[in-house]
Order: sequence, then C-alpha cells, then structure tokens
Amino acid sequence: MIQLQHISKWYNVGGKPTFILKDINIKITEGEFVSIMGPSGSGKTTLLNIIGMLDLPSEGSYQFFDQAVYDLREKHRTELYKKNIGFIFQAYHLIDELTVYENIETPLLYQDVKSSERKAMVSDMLDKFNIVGKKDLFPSQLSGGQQQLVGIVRALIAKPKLLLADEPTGNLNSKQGEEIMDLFQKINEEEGVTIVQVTHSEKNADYGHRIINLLDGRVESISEKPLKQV
Amino acid sequence: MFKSYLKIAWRNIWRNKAFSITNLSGLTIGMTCTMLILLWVQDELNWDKFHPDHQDIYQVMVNRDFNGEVNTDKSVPFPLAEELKRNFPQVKNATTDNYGSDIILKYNETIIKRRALNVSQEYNDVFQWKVVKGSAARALANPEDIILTASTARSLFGDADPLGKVVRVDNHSDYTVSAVVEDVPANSSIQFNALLPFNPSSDFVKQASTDWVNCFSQTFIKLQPGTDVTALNKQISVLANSRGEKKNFVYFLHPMDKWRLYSDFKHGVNTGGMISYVKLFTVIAIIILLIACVNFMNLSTAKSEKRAKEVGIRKTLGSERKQLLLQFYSESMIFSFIAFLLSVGAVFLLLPLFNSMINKQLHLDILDPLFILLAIMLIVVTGLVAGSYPALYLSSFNPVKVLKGTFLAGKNASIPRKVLVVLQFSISVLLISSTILVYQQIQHVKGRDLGYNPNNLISIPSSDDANKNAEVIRNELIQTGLVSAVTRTSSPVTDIWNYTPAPNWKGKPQNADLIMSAMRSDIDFGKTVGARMIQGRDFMNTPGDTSVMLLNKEAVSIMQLKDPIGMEMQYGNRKYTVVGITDNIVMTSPYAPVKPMMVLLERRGSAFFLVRLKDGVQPQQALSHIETIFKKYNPQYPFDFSFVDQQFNQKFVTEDLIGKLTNLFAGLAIFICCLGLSGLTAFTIEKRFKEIGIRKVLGASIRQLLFLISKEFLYLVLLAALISIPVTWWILHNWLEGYEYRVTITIWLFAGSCAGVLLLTMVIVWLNSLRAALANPVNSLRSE
Ligand SMILES: Nc1ncnc2c1ncn2[C@@H]1O[C@H](COP(=O)(O)OP(=O)(O)OP(=O)(O)O)[C@@H](O)[C@H]1O
Ligand SMILES: [Mg+2]
Repeated sequence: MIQLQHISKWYNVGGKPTFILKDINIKITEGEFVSIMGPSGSGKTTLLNIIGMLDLPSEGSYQFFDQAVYDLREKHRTELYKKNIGFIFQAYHLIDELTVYENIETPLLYQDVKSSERKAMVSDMLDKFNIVGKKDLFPSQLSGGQQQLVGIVRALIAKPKLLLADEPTGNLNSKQGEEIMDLFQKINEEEGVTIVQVTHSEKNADYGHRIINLLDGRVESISEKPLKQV
Repeated sequence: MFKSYLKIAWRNIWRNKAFSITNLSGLTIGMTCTMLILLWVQDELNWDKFHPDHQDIYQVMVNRDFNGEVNTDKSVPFPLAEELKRNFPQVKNATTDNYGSDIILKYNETIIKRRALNVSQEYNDVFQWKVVKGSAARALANPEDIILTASTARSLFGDADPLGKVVRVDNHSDYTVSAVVEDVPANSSIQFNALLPFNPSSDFVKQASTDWVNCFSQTFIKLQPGTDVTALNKQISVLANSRGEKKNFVYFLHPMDKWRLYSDFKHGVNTGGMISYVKLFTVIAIIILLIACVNFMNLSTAKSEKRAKEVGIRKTLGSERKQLLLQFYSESMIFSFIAFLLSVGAVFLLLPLFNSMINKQLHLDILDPLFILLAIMLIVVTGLVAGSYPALYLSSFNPVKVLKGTFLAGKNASIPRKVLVVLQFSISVLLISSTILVYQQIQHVKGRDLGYNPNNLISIPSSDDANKNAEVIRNELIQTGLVSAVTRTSSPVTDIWNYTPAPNWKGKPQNADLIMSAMRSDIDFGKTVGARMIQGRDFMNTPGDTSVMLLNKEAVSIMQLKDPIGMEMQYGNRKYTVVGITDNIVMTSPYAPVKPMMVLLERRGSAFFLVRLKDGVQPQQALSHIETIFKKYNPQYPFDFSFVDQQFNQKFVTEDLIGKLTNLFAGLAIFICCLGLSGLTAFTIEKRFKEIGIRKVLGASIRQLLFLISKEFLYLVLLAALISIPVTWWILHNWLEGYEYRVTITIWLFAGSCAGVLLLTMVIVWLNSLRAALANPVNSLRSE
C-alpha cells in the first residue's frame, strides 16, 4: 500500500544542510498496524506528515497504492489524500467553534457528500462510538479522552483506508490511553483500516504488528511481531 | 458547505463580541459616510436633469476681452434670442429672462413677496416645467399673463382655483393667472415663484429690442439633437458681433448639464467649479470606506493566530485553499452585509440632520433600482476588499507548522499590518491638516479688511413711494436717535450689478479699454457704509453737490491717475467731478482682489436704503422703529430688510459647507482609524500579556511597560508623518491656488496635526495597555 524509497528531508541551518530524515525506505501493506518509536526529535512526526502528504520530503519517492504521489499535481494529491487518509493528533485539534456533530461532519463537507447522506453517516458513527449524547457540545465542554474520541471518529468518518495517529494518547492518562488503543485494534481488525501510529510508550507500541525505531532521522531497527489471533 | 461557512462565521462574530463590534462599527460608520456622500454627489450630478431635453438646452454666454482681461458673462444682448431662432435652423427655440427680482403679489388682502422672472414668451418652449393647471404652451401669450408655482398660488388663493384670478404686481399692474406649475425643484439652476412675460409694448422692451450694446438679460436656447455646437458658436459670434458696436466678442454655448458643476470661468476658459468638490468628496467617500476596510483587515489578521489552528485542521481534513478562501470571504461578506443594513438604518436616522446641515432635501429611496445596484456593489466591494488580505493570508498557513503548535506569526507576518496602520496614520495626518487649513482659510477670508463695516448696517429694498419720501424717511430715521446715517444705493453693497467701460478723462491713453464696476448712491455713502476715505470727501447734502463721483483705490491705480481729486470724468453724456477716493471695498468674492469701482451721486430713484445704526444700538429695537417709519411712508409694501453682514456671509455658503463636510467626514474617518488602532492594541497586548506579566515580576514599572507597548506605535506614527507631510502639502497647496486671497501653509500646520495624531495614538494605546500593565502578574502567568 505504501512504499517509501530513499526519503530524505533536510533544512538549511546556517548554510549547512541538517538532516531530519535520511534515506528512509519503508513498505507498509494494507491492513497493517505499524508503530513508530524513537527519541524526541528523531523525526517521527516529520515522517508521519510525509506519509500523510501534509509535508514534502527533500528527496525520494512515495508510492501510494499504485500512484507515484510526487508525480501527481497538487489537486490530485489532495484528492487522493482526502479519500484515503484520516489524521489523529496528540492535541486533538478539534475546531473550537464547531460542535461535536459539526466537527465530525466537516471532512464529509470537503468531499461533497450530500446532506442526507452526511446526516446518516454521522448519526451512524455517533451511535457506534456512543457519543450521541454529546453531539451538540463544543470541544471545550469535553474531557481530554472524549475529545480524542471525537478526533478519532472524525478521522474515521470518511472511511479512510489509512489512519495516521501522532501520539494519540500523549495527553491522556493511562486508562484513557488503553481505551483508545483497544479502539485502534478493533478498527484495524474489524474494518481492515491500516494504522500508522507514533508513540513513546512501549505498551502502546506493542499493539502494532511492527515497530519502526527511528534514531536521528534513520530507521534504526524494525521489530516484527506475529499477527495476533482474533 | 456554504451553510457551514455561514454558521462558523456567525459563531465567530458572536463569540468575539469586542472584535465584532469594533469591526462592525468601523464598517458601519464607513458605509454610512459613503452613502451620505454618495447621496450628496448624486444630488449634485442630478441638477437640472429633470428637464427631459436637458441635453439640448444651452445658455448663450460671451467672453469679452478688455485690455487682455477676459470677462466671461451671461448677459447678452436682448434681441439675440430672436435673431438666433430666425437665422439658425439648428436652434429649435430661444428665450431670455432678466435674472429675476423680488416682486410684491397682492390678491384681496393677501400680500406676499416672491421671486419672479421676466421672460420672453418662448420660455416654456425651451424649459419644461411641470404644469399643474392650465397649459404652459400659451400661458405667456398675453402681456398680462402670469404663471405661478403651486405653493405661490396656494399662498395667494388658498384652495380656490387660481386660473383666471387677477393679481396686482408691485402695486401698479394687474396680471391674470394663466397657468400653475409645480414648485421648481431645489436642484434647478433656474429658480422662480412666478413667471411674467416681458411686455412688448412697454418702452423699456421696445428700446431693448434693438439694443445690441447694453445687456441686462440672459439667453437660453434649445438645439436640434446632434447639432455641431462648435460650429454654431462661431456662427453666433459672427452674427452678434455684426450688430451694435462691432466688437470681437466670443460667444459660446454652455450646456445645461454643466451649469451646476462647471460654472467657473477664468480667462474665458471653463475651470470647473462645484465638480471639484464632487470629485473631492467622492474620493473622501472611497478613502473612508478604505479605512474601514483596512481596520477589518488589520483586526482579522491580528486575530489570525487564533484562527491558524482552525485553518490547519481544515487543511488536514481535506480542505483546499480555494475552499478556505471562500470561507473567509463569506465571513467578510457577512460583516459587510450586516454593516450595510446598520448603515441604511443610520442613514435614515441621520439624513434629516445631514440635510439641515448642508441645506438640501436628500432622501434615500431603497426601492430605487439604482440604489439596489449600488448597494450590492457596495456590499460586495467592501466584503472583497476587507476580506482579501485576511483570506489570502489565513488560507496560506502551512498546516504542519500551524499544528506543531510552534506557529508564530514572526516579524514578517506583521509587516503588511504595519503598512496598513502607517497608511491610516498618514490619512489621519492629511485629514487633520486639511480640516485645520480649510478652517484657517475661511477665518482668514472672513477676517479680511473689507474696506467698509458690514456690521450694524441694514439694507431695505426701496420702492417708488419710498423714493418719493426718501428725505422724510431719512429725517425721521435720524430723529429716532438710533440711526447715525442713511443713504440709498442702486445695488447692494455685497454685489456688483453693473460693469461698464471706464469714463473718459483728460490724458486717458488712446486705446485704454478699461472696464469697471459702477453704482449710484445718495449722499452720505461713505459715512453710511463705513467706507474709509483715503482722499477727498464723501457725497454731501449741499445743493451744489451734483455730478460728483467717488473712485476706489483700485480704480485710481488702474487708471493711473496722479492727482484724481477734482478731475473731470466724462461718463455717458454727463461730466462728473471726482471728489473722493475710498479704500477698496470688497463687494463680490471675498477671495478675489477688489475690482475698480466708481460711485456716482444719484439723489432720485434707488433700489436700496442703507441704514447705519449707532454703535451699541440693539438691532431689534431699532428695527421696530424703522419698520414703523417705512410702514408710514411706504404702506403698500410689506416691510423687508436684511443685515448686510449676513448678506456678506452668504458668500461663504460653499466654503462653509465644504468646511462642515470636511469636519464631519474627517472626524469620522479619524474616529474609524482610532477604532482600528484600539482594536489592534488590544490584540497586541493580549498577545504580550504573558510577557508583560513576566517583565512585571522582574521589576518593570508601569511607566516602562507603557513605553514598551507604545514604542512600536510611535515609530509607525513618525513614519506616517514623514510620508504624509509632502503629500498633504501638495494637495493643500493646490487647493489654495484656487483662491487669490489665501493663507499660507506653515510648518505649524503639520506639526500640529502630527502632534494631534501622536497624542491620539498614545491615549488610545495607553488606555488599552493600562489594564495589562496594572494587572496582577500572577493571574496572567497562571493562565498559561
Ligand atoms: N523548520 C525546521 N527547521 C529546522 N529544523 C526543523 C524544522 N522543523 C523541525 N525541525 C527539526 O526536525 C527534527 C524532527 O522533528 P519532529 O517533529 O519530526 O520530531 P519528533 O520525532 O516528532 O519529536 P517529538 O517526539 O518531540 O515529537 C527536530 O530535531 C526538529 O528540530
Ligand atoms: Mg512529534
């Protein structure tokens, strides 16, 4: 599904290039659950943003399904991204001015989904994740865990094939974190959504089938795990 | 999608009330000003347009060259109209009038004074006054016909049918009402309450019909559509110059569409007129709207850090830049629309006030298709301009950077905002300077030495009866003990009615073709008007004092007389002796140099009584005595009077109006700038709240904190001053060029207005920052 080849990214600091990512080669197949780990500043977020097409590398190629991403024009790339990728952030990043319902609905607006269809989809999700009662509240009226739940629902609403999560539990306590991780696992197993998450916690990383360890912008090691039995 | 934009826009407006109110009031004031100005402009542009054929109507005017000084005049020979119609097929109709005068209309016991025009029969063939009763076409066929306006007819006859009623005019002749026309619109160059035909069998008209030299009337013509006016101008000049004194005058047609706005002539060339103010205020309207838009841009982008996150999230959720642009534009459109609705309300509320201020009858017709079109344009343009920068700026945010949380606008991000603030400051300096200068100029001219004393001087129109009894009236007035001198003049002191070639004297250069103003006056001219005598004496009440004249200083200088007193002047078929030289008396434009003038002693008929009150006499008290005396000796006329100083002040109507308008709109524009500045400081301070708290903990005093915050704005004001001073100087210098009698621009004007802007800025910044500076740092630091 995802194939990164010779991805490098650098910034010019004081005339000298400083590498943030260096010659990254990764392959992720559909249905996988991958965790990315590494010390602070090792380039995890940058890598995730590149996979998520929010950021461009300085060098390298990126194959998404059978599309060469960097050969596409901006418009098509956005199209590809809109249809296939959902994002979850450590800081939730809900729109403060919108209610829970409207936050969840927003990605559908950008995909020109019809109003009636939107309604059905959002209600369905609210039901599924048990947050119907909260749909008219604003983000500031929710707890951190609830906000992240809304963030996840929002990321899933458009039925993405790939879910990218940057420290999704970073701002939550361990119990809330565990709930979110269980949810990820469920989504991955039941719906076949490919998940790439960045995390600092070993325990959370273990939910993944594979752990990619970054150090100073390089892939230091990849630890494979056998598929868990359902 | 659009619904979602509206929703979020609405919530943003609601959530940030202070921000929204600042933005909305700025835009509302801006739009209100713009609408008021445009209403005024529209009214000015619509003058005389109510005549369906306005494009084909012209006034015949003439440039007369006297020794190189070209005088543009509306007075043309009386027989010209007839001749034009007879000779040129392009001329559909031609007519004349006598500029009008006040007449007394009497019906039964009702006596009223109204403005009347004596006109030739074809008047209504050229102009199309709306007829209420009767038919205008034949209404002036008989010399005893009179046309009245509706309100005049109502004053005379009440609700009775005016047609066929006989009214007595000026106590000597009877006229029959032949038609009633609607009241002349306020935006008509020609104004009257009654139209009377010239009487073709009267001696005066008979004589005038062949007189190609003396001109007392103006001529209007209606052309066939598509006539070549330039060619016709030449033909008219040839025709008119072939009669009378065979001069080389240049006749030309001045189109009706230009009467109101292009009425000024200099050296025989049209130099515009009111149009420059129409343009000026259109520009001011645009500037005010622009300032309001700049406010919106500044405040919206200042707030942008708060919205950066929203932009970032939307982008990660799949929004394209286009969609974000649309979102932000729809927000500014909503602001623009709400502001528009508010300002329509404001215009309705303020219009009566505005009307009384500018002495007009403007009204807003919201169902007028033109208004609707303009309104939509106003809303869209304002929305687009105000929204452009915020939309482009906000939608350009990089989501990765923004969401990383390390997004900082940085130094460069605030540069456009600073540019806009500098622009606002510059405009403020310009506006303040202009307001001060306009005021200075008006005061300067009002304070000009007029050469006489217009205060406590009363002018009373004369009549046949009053002239007969002039001597008795004078004596009784003096006997009241309230009056120090009385004279009579052929024209008001505040105007010149008669320009004439200079008299002949011994030693006059051969081809000296001098033109000067002439007026006739009774004895005590100098004493009554308070004219300073430079040489010689006033007209005296002695039997020997006949055939004498006064000259003014300018006349002596232009005639190059060395020892004028006692000189003989041949004027017409009479000889006059120069007995006195007065200082230059400002009679016409207070902005122009005084023209050469002669005053001839005339002891019989005159148009006005001038009454000089003693110093310290209360005018009201004196007037009741004066009225009694005039009622006694002039019983057929209602007593009427005016104060000469008030007459004189009429000359400042335009400048006073311009002064008032600049004050008003400059004030409002500056207010909008202040609003914006206030909002901007509030944001700056909000952003620096934590920094201020930290500095305070570290021991900064409130004064140091205030300075820290205001420093940024100080630089901007200084920069604005540097930019705007040359521009302002250039604009004001050009404006003053239009006045021959004018103030000079001094450095203090700029120093004053810059200081004003600086002071205003500091007050606003300090008021806003005091809260932050006084706040307990513990609170501001804990909130992080
Ligand atoms: N604009 C930039 N210019 C220069 N260096 C940058 C820039 N943006 C990021 N970096 C550097 O790139 C490196 C990788 O950043 P990144 O956010 O990917 O790290 P991370 O692994 O996600 O760290 P963390 O665990 O703290 O979130 C960091 O060392 C950072 O200093
Ligand atoms: Mg990171």
